[in-house]
Amino acid sequence: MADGDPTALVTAAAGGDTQAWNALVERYAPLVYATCRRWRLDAADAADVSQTVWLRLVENLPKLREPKALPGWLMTTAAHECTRFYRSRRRERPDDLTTLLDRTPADDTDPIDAGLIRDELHAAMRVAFAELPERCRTLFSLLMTDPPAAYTEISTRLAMPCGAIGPTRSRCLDRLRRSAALQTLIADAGHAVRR
Amino acid sequence: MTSNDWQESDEALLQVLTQALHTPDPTPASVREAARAVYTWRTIEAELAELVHDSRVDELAMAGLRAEEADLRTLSFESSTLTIELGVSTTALLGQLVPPGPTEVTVHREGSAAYSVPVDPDGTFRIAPPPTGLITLTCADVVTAAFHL
Repeated sequence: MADGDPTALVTAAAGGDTQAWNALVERYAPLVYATCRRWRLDAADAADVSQTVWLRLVENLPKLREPKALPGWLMTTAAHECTRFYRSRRRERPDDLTTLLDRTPADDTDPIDAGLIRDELHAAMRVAFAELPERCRTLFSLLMTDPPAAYTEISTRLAMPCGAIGPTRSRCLDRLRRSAALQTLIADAGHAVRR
Repeated sequence: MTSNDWQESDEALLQVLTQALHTPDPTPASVREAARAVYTWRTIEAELAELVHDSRVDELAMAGLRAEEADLRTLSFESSTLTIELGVSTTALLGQLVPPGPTEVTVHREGSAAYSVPVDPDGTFRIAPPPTGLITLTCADVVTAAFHL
């Protein structure tokens, strides 16, 4: 799939295309899983809740109003299902209240939490990158080589004058930053700080 | 802590992106497999009955209820045409369809074959022993949202 916008994949998956569904899973499963982990679920519980989130997506595919915002929808649904998970656990093991009432998303003052947050950020970055237009992805790939490709080489590869590379780079970075995955992350972090 | 610099600085953003793309993805393969597998749970013609009430979740949202005070779990699902009320005890899953009509209910359970139970003319059905794990119930052209038992 050349272009990164998930709309076509969502539409195809809603229409019964298994390959489109698998492509959605391939791209977004790490983000769902990382979000569950950031909600401090252990690996086994995060796997269970992830599956529930994907079932929610199967159920909601035909009526997803903004397929473009899919990463945000997945992250919000994951947070919701994690909360549900903790509530049902409280029911099964009421004596464990003190530990469970502690359950909140990770914050970055703790080294383990910092790892969970970094993993989620990386997962969101990979999703945001995958959703970029191909031109941006190619440009970033060239800039990320070590050492970075020379502007003259980039110019040839992208059929773009050298003078346009800087502005394109900054437009692509802006687009990356405005992606649904990263915006959801920023909104969520802002919420955590205010709490 | 400068971990959020990427929100402002282009250099920091490119740096985090580079790290992200060079870090191996820690997601277990089984997580992707499970996510691919749920696609087969999709029922194209069926209308989704949303979970509108779950005593386990709703009552706990109100503080103070102890486990022994709520030993029968109840769940309600609603679609535009059908309401499905469930009561879960340790020995059986009891259901009531409103309005009555469908003559059987099909149970889909993670990792095992689907099976059906009859519904009586009053719209009640009984599944014993109760299924466990992640399940959905299908009645005629309505399917419940997946739920855990």
